[in-house]
Amino acid sequence: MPEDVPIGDLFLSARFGEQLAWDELVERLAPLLWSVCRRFRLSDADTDDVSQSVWLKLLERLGQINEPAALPGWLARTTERECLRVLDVGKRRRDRETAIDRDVPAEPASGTAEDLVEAAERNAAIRAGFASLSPRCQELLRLLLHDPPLSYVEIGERLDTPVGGLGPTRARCLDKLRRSTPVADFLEMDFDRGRR
Amino acid sequence: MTGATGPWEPDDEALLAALGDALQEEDAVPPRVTAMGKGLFSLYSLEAELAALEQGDKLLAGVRSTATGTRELDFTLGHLTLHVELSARQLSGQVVPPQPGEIDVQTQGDRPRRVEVDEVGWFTVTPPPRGEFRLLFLGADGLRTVTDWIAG
Repeated sequence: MPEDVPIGDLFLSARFGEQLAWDELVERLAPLLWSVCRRFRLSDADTDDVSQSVWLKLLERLGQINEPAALPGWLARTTERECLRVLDVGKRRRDRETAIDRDVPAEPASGTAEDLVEAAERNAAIRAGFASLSPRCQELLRLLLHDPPLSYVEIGERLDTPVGGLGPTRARCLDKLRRSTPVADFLEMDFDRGRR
Repeated sequence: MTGATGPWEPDDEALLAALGDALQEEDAVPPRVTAMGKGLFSLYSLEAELAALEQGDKLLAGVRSTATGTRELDFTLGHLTLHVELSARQLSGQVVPPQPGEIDVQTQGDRPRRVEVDEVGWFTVTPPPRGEFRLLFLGADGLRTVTDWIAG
């Protein structure tokens, strides 16, 4: 399943019972689910509980009449609700309200659900764009992002390329990423959103 | 980030940093979160199979050709019928007994599409699907029916 298939198309194909489309849909939405969960600092067991509920609700949604386009926003809201639910269950079970108040920030630490959705959409677009690049561009960009950072000399050695060519290749690969359909579409959408 | 600061217009440095974030975000997801999601799909397939068993055997397609070059196909499942007319201009059809819902169209090699079924059960897909396709009807009451593959 290519990474640049729109998420709404994956949703429709999954409706027809296609496991591969569903798998890709889960892969695409998992980072968003995780980014919401992380803000609530859930235990592993609670994270499992939340992800199971959210995936089941997504499955339910396959059987309902709806627009598949608004999936990321729906997923973020649903995950947030499920996180609050397991926290609430845990709170009542343990009956230790002060511990919860101390452990869980009342205001989510890193922005609103809307911000998370936009960040997730941007990241998904970038990953899809990255996947559409040539293996050579992907390798170079990964090396440039290496942690700890590598020098141009080391990168040149690994790629068996003269160091002088790395700068122009880097610019060319990033330009291809910027112009790739998923990233270009996101930037255009974001531009429209910024003007509103 | 965008929002109050306006649209995101990344230079090379910003784009590379954003790529780093995006790849890291994907790596950070615990594998069991995705594994659980993938594993649950068997519930969906099972559900569809059960619905088919309860309501009869596989869909039976009847094909008639008409003088106008329009092909007519009837798909039945229990007492539900999808009547489909396929011409060069469009695919149209009716759900009997009439009821609202949605029709999804899946084609070999083309993007899937979704159309509304109106209150009296009518739906139209323009332009018609190219090549082999199949239809999925989702009723307002949760009824789900998939046709066999149809030659376009």
